[in-house]
Amino acid sequence: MLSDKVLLIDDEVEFIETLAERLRARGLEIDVATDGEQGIERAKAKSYDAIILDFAMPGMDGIETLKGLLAQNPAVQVMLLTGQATIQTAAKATKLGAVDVLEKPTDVETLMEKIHEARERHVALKTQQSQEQVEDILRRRGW
Amino acid sequence: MSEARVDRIGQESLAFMGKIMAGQSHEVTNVLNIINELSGLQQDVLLSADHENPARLSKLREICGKIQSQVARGEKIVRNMNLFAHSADTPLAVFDVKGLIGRIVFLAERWARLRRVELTAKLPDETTALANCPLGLQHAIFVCIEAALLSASDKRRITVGYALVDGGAEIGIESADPMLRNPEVDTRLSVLPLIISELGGTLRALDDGEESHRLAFFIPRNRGGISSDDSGRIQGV
Repeated sequence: MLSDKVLLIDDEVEFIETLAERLRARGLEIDVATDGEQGIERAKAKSYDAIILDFAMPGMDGIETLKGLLAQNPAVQVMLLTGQATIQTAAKATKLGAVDVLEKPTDVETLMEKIHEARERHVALKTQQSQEQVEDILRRRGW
Repeated sequence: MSEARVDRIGQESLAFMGKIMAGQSHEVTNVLNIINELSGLQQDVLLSADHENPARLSKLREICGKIQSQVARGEKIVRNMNLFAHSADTPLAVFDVKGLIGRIVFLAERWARLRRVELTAKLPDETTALANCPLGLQHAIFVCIEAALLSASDKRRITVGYALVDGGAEIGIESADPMLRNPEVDTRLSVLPLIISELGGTLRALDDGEESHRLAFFIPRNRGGISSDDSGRIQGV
């Protein structure tokens, strides 16, 4: 079975590296980025089942990064993981298309569940997109 | 002093304190989040089999070292927050200006980091006692730092320092980029003359034209009936 591919974006290097190590030990394929621009570049080069994103970061903040990620790929499953979530931030992120807003500290097993859920949604969306593309091709060929 | 002016300074001081305390509490939360993950990793290593493996013992030692360094980071934040909070105890006190500038620069580093700017304090070796309003002085410096940050481009440097001059100290905030004069910067700076006037000081460099790289102001050594020789009331030294 293929492992879930996850991108972590957070400027706290020690936090992100430790979380990455714990998730890798649970069988996930983890990449890290320490700012929004780097995260968007990584997501451009590789398809992730889930992206976990911090809110307050140097340069592009979490909301700007979320917008950039979704503009690049509307099917991407982005979760905000932040120690600074307010109801307004959570509402804004969800409205923009974040699939979840989690508050730090989050138990690693809860995070694993959220990642698996995101992967299922991601696979379902990709399947639906592929089906629509096939149907479109068939329709254009008059079949 | 007019009532409106007192209200404006009071509101701005409260907002300044709230901003610093909220920012620093986020910094403490970051430290606790890292410690939480490190202790989780420690638990993962301990729960795994093969306890006698030297590599696992070395990993546990590495985690302990990281936890200790995060605790030291957290202690430094809390110590500076505590000294900052106590600077509002009395409107006038004798304080060490070098320590005070070092502290407000440390507290402002979060905002500099978020704008990817290097903020440093360039301070002389010897300490100097001033008798003035410690909260007001930190507020004035923070306003200058905020204005400089709004003007700074990516990965540039801002330096805060002071020099002893006749009758007091001149505080200077220098930026690699010229201070912008736009509505956002002007709004931030609009409170500065009020605060400096409350400190009994004067603005020295603000209106040097479009290409000014420096904000500076003078504050007197002794303000409001207490003297910097009154060492029994020194704060935060």
